[in-house]
Amino acid sequence: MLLELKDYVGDMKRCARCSMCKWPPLAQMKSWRFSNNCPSIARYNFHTYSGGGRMAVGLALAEGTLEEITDEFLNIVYRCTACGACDSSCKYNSELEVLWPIYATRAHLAGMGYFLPEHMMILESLRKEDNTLMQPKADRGKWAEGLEVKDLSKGEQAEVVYHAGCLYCYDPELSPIARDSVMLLKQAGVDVGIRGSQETCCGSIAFQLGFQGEFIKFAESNIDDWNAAGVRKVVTSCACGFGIMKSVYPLLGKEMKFEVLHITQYLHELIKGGNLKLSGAFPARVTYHDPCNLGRKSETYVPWRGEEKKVLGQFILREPQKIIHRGWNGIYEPPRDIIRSVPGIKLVEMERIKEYSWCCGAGAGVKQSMNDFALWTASERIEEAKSVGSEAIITACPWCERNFKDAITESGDNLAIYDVVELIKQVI
Amino acid sequence: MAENNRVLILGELSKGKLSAGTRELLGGGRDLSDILGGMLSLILLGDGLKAAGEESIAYGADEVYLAENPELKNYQADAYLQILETTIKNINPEILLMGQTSMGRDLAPQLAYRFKTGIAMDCVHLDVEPDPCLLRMTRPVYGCKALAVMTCKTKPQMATVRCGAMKPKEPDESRKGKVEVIPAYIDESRVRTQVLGKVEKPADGIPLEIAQVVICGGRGMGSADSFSILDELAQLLGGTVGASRPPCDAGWISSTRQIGLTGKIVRPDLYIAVALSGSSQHMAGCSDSKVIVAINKDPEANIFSLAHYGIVGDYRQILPPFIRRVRQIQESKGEKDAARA
Amino acid sequence: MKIAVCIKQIIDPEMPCSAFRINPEEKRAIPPPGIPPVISPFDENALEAALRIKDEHGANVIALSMGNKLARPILKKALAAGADELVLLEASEFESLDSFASALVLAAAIRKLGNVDIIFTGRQGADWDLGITGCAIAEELRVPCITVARKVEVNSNCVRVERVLPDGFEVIKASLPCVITVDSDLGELRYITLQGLSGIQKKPVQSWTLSDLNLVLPATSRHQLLDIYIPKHETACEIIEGATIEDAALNLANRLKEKSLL
Repeated sequence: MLLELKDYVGDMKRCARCSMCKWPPLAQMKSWRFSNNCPSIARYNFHTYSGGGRMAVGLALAEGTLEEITDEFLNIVYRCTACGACDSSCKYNSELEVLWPIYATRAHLAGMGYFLPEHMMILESLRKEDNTLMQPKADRGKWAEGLEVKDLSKGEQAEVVYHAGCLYCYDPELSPIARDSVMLLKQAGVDVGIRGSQETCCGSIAFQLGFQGEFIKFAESNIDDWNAAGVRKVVTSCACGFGIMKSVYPLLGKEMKFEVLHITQYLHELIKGGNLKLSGAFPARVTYHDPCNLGRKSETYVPWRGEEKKVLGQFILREPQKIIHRGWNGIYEPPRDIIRSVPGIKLVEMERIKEYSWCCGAGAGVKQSMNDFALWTASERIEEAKSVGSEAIITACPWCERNFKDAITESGDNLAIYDVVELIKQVI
Repeated sequence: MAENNRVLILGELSKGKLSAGTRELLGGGRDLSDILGGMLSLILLGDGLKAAGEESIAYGADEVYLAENPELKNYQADAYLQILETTIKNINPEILLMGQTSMGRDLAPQLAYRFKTGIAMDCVHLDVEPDPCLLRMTRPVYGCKALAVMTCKTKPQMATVRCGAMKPKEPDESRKGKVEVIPAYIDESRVRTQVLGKVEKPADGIPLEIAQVVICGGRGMGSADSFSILDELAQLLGGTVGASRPPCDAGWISSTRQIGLTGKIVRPDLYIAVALSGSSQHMAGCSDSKVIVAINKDPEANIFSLAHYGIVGDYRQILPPFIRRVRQIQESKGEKDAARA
Repeated sequence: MKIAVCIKQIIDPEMPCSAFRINPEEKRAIPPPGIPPVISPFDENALEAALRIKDEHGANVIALSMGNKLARPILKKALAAGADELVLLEASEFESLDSFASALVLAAAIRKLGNVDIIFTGRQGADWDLGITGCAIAEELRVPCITVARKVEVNSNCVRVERVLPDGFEVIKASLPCVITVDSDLGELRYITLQGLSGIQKKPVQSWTLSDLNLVLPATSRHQLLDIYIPKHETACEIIEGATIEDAALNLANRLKEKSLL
């Protein structure tokens, strides 16, 4: 299952430098102010930071035309949240893969032993303590203390397992959201359990940083644990976790005897089915931020293997036909439906939404190694939210929430940030 | 100088007699010598070596060299090196073997350096071509994930051999051989280190190396407390508990219980591997077990390609009913034995 | 006090089994994509031994690494952990040297550093698992060598080393300078902190080649590698099943009883 950079040489060569990767779909642009879709090139301004630029970078690595891997080169490669906006935009026009060559470039560099020092810390943390936050493994279950829920690691059985994720387990400000998620599920009558201190990282950051060996170990371990526990559904509130479980876990070739759901999908079903009733009011003008990993990056990626035929010396025909993942089938409506069903709320959309949403800035190791870049990206999004007159941003990922909250603290803004679960908790 | 095709073994003693490893080397060395048509020689260093010397003839040696000196009773690198350098040069063997033991891993590289020859450490198989004499040494590499076959063109061709890789011959008291006492003078000025003392940690329970039943926990155990269920099972089966390296590194269990390439090598009749992936470094320590049973949640874990019986699942769900049933079986066996008595 | 620690860059011994492949022409493992090389684990224990002495007595800890195409981010981990300097011995000639030639190069570098009191290495490199280089360095430098150490203490101009034995340990005293090879029993390398990482930039990294060391490498290797292969395992594992997992467990017990194993 390992990513090989040479598999993407064909696509990387065909980048025509049309620059579509730098903008949301032209028909959807509403203002000049919010017309970028790639935080990397928007901030650093050189072509190499855009999706097309990264294709050139990957190609140079694959063809061995680089003399030396310098620190500046590594900065270029890693100043990217792997948000996939470039990939989505490019695919309005063509059928090139952009995001996966980005992943493969990182994997290639990691294999050579090249990455940022902060990534070394994340790697060590994963190897020694099974999480990405340099926290002790033994404390992983602390978020659930006092919560009356089945503990699958003690041999109890449940139909559904709730996977909290590293950030919810270890960030005391965000842990209440995980607790609320579990309590809402129980309230709705779901037979839910957690794995407590035996839960391990989903491997999402490891994969996005290029540490494929680590990713495979964590992913296979999680699949085995959930298979062995006999659960039917795996639910998580972390969009990053959801995205990787949906898009990459199936590629390992291991049988997954369970369905993967994001909490917003599941709660949406439960609310529609009448198991949860939203009665309280929340009179506010809010906007919804689509997390990259819940939206455009959550489609199961199918690596294409086949024959390419050149027709009329110019057009590429692929046999068998390649399935192009444009991000259109991400989870966009369920969170919005939930928000709209809250009495008194007014949902306004930002300019860049759904599969052309602007990243929060925290993904793929950027929050850990370049906090300034992460905060700048978040502040752009906060400006966008304010520009449509919203009083709060609702999101569905702890990394988004964490990054937005840090940006607001730094800028002293008064915009509120809520997770969908926090919103439901207020009105249930 | 004529080719003498001699195989020389550096032997060790255990409680005054030939160590098990030395007897194995003599057995394997005998096979090599028979192919080469040369002599099998043995060197022993220590004190009160006569009985061991005669024993080694019975186990296959043609000649034995004894370096008798009370100072040699405990291994000390510089003292041993002094005597061995000159002695081995005089004997001029084609092949020099010793065990991959505490002494072997310390002494062998230094001897190889001084003889300006190569050495293969921790070999699991040796075979030889007689003319010209070329020793083919097979040893595990990459943490036992692969095997490498090496040769050395300089004399003596040196190898250290893993415990249990060779088999001793049945002792034949009628065998004749030469026992020679060699000079064992030690120049103290060249001895650069000093052994101040020894601390032996008595194994609590049955020592791993002789246990007939070993229950081994791996990384998947998850915590130190989880080992208590393995203790329970070991007690029930009259065995002992071991671990692969990750639990030892994590501090869940003492490192004296580590089984593997750099830990203990065990050969029980029954080896139960719990939540253990079966990495090659670990399997090097237990692959000679008679029956291996594996319990692991991963159906593709490496251990299943090496085990005889297995269950795929979470050990936390499997061990409690397993232990209950084993207890039932023991009790009914006890009743049957009592009834027969 | 000056301490040298030899660290070797190797392919990750903890990689998933499915990723391990041998290149039959080059006769070595193929570095898999996405799996970074690592510092040999026993060399990390060696670094920890050096850092503990630095904590207690103060010392200048210099990490040395020899090879070709060395990955600096991997080796700089030694600096992040607390080493003061990093010396890279990088040359294409250093690619596949045998242990004795490697020891020749490392010893030359240590001599060039001058006045080194202790040289630490791991007990064996976790790729070739030979355990020769440490002893050979000691022979090159004409100093004593203590192998498989689990604890090292320094007292005036001597070391007191606990050396691992099958059932315990022995205590050895040696005067400095000496070489000590370290076992995992000593303890894992300390965790990297953000502080340690930020300090990397200020620490010197030098790069020496063959000519810097004034060395002539031996013309031939002391041994020849005939073949390297992944052995096939041929046990047919009988997987015990059951209607529920409890049933499977009971079935296993019954099966073992049938085979007179209980």
